[in-house]
Amino acid sequence: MGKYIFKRAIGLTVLLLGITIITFSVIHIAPGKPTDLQAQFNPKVSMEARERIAHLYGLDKPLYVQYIEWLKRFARLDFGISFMDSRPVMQKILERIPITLTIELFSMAFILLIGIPIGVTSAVKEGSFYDKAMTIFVFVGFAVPTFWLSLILMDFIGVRWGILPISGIKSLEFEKFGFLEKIIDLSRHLILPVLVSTFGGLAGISRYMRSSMLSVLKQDYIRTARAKGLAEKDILYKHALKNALLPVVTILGLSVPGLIGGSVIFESIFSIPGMGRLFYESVMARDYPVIMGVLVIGAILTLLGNLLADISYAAVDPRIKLDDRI
Amino acid sequence: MNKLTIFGICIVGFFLIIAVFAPMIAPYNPGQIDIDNILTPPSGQHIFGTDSLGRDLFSRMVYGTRISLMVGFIAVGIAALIGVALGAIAGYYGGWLDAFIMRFIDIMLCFPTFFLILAVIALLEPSIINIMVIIGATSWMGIARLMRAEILSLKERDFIYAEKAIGAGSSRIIIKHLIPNAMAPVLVSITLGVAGAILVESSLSFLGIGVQPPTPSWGNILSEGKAVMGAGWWMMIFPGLAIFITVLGYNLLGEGIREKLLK
Amino acid sequence: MLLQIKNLKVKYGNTEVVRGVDLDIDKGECVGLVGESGCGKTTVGLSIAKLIPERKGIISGEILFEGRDLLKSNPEELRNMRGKKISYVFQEPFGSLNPVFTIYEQLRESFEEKDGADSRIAEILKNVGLEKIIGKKNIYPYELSGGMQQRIMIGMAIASNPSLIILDEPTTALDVTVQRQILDLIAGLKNNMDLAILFISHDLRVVFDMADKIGIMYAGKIVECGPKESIVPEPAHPYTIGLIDSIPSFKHRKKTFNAIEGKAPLFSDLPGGCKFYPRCRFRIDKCAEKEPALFNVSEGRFARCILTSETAARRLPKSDRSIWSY
Repeated sequence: MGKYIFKRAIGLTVLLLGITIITFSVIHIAPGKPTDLQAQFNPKVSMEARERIAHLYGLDKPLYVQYIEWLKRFARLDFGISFMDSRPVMQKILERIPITLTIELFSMAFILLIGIPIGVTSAVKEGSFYDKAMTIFVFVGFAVPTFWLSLILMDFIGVRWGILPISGIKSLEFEKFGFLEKIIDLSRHLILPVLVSTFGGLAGISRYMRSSMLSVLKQDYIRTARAKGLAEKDILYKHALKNALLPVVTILGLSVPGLIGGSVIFESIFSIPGMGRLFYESVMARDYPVIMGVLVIGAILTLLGNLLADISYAAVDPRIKLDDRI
Repeated sequence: MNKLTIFGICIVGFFLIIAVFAPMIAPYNPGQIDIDNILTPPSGQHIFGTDSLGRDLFSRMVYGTRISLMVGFIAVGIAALIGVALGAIAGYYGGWLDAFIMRFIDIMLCFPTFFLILAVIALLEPSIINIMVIIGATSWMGIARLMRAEILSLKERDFIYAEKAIGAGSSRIIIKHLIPNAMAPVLVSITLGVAGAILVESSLSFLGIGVQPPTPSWGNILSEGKAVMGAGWWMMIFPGLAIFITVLGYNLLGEGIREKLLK
Repeated sequence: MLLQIKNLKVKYGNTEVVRGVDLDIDKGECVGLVGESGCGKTTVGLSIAKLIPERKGIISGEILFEGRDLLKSNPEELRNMRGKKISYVFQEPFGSLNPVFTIYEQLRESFEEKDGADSRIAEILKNVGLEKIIGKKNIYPYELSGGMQQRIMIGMAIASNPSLIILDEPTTALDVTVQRQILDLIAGLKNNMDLAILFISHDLRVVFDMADKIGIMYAGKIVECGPKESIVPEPAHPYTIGLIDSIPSFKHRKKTFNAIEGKAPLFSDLPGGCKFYPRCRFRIDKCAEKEPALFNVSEGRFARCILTSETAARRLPKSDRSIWSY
């Protein structure tokens, strides 16, 4: 296990390097110096801040030197200071990550809890009305634009019927609440974002689960199980399901970047103070340090997601021994 | 052919016709401002109602079709060009070139795509061309992998050896023989990619960094809709429906092509 | 009579692949079912315990097991039959065991008693010659060789002391030396346990050793059947002659192989009249007119050929019986 982690770490380092290069390049796509535009639009930036920034980026030095300087700082997890409010970038990001992660985790949990049964039952009842209905449902899920869904939910559930709050994560009187009330309040605020986030991912997982289950059901060992006289539900939910779930585990890990990217939309619409919204605000304000920081952190989270997916796959499938894989 | 696929083809065709014949279909000039008729609900005169500047929503949406489809096709076209080229090169030549390209793909896939697109668009100016290029430049990875996989399996086939035996050069082999035979699964990706590109463009326009008003795009009409929430349901429903149906159409078509290919 | 198959017909979609098969198996009797790939013999085997899902194939006729028609039994009754009274061993051992469960877990499923499971499993393993696996509870199928996996399959099949075991090409996917071992194992079990066996194979030699009675199938029907001692020295159907003659022999080295010319027909494209007509060495014009019925050649012997019926095997040359010695 240790050897595997070590080998993986080397591969990851290469990836990280690549990520930093891309991130760095993205910022320097903009014509002119990174500070120009932002100094023009944002009168709050004082002379000292501008000089600090110029120093931070060594803007007079050649590009590759700038990159190395930035890389060194990045290795110490120092992403610099935000242009907008002069706070350390890392701090701003760390404040926002928990919220985004919470929403993501809940979404993933729901996607699994709802999507997997839908996929399994669709496969078992292949060709039936239920299957066709689920197929349509899934296609609809794929096609609905997240921001439209958010808007409609916001309009009807939030504005017109006033059932759920539509802005932020805490009510105005939050501080006065008791512990339980605080939890409830937070949950009520999170319902709509989680709903929107789940809806998009549901389609993918259930479809994938369905085809995985269908292909497992064609295997010989299912025929053996039937010939042994096992109960139908044992055959489906013990023999077939465990095999069918294996590839789905990987898919979950791979869906992390999609979920993070999607967070921009609903966090902006529902005013959730998460990473997506931070990114959007920073982009609009040309707050380069934050932009770079979030890009890198987002990529790292994705890498972690993939790593986790690989490890869980190996843990679940007895045929895979970690040391054999790179 | 599957009923759903036929439905998809109909949808795709429908919107194509609207886009092509937009000037003939739209009853009003999409930019025509009419202060007397601000935010009127759907009526005989304006079947989709009017927006906050009195412009006919239906006409704006008809022209918006042009934008969405154009962005969709060109963005995917760019993605396909990059993806097919890189995938074919990686698959055919192998070795360090392959390793390098695959690593590059892995790195690109680490970023939440939408973040990258947002960042680049905001840093450059949000013109339609930029949008098309950046969407294309961030969605080629899947196509590249597919192409590479197909090429890897195709290049060992006899007809390729035959070509080599008669002295055909590498680029000729790749372009004339390998790529056309490998296109099948890529076609599915391309079709689904159009749906994705339309979604991204409308999301960007909604956020204000896509197609800029007064050019109508379904996305930026929706963002107007958000601003007048509660006062103009037609501003929210119709553009969203349009996006939804179009994306659905391309998804159904793509899945239909995939079913056909899996035979 | 333990098992009586009467006029079994099976349709896959619009094509009939089993076109009226009658077969009887008595207690403790081993019946071989021989034919080329695609003649329908596997389908006959699968039909017995109704292992063909209705979506795939429609079965008609009667299959009387201990007097009860299996084709009219409800799923619960069938389930009780499978694995306990009627067992299967399939062709491909590699795919027939569930890859994500241990051998012990899968063996455990083949009997119902809760207590003494471990000693039961140990006994099964001993019976199939896999003593070295006893006690290794964490072994997975992929860790065993093909021969060992097939032994496990056999072990699972005999675990509950069935009355009938159906072997479908049990050794075809294995090396020749391993084949011999498996066949010996099965022969030993048959003697010890008073098992009735339906041995399906394309290889007449393999079947010959163990079978008491042999049925030859062609194009969905039985074309000859009878006790093995009389079929081989005096085959009564041209196809059987072809099969016997095409067996290469070590003792009598010939310069060429005697293959039966032509190919097995597709079920969608069967000729009128006798189905073997296109490939038959002895055909006459009358053969193409009508498909012959099974003719009772002698006590317990049947053949579907008008030449046989007319001149009771005298027209057909005898085969070289000494080819049976290796």
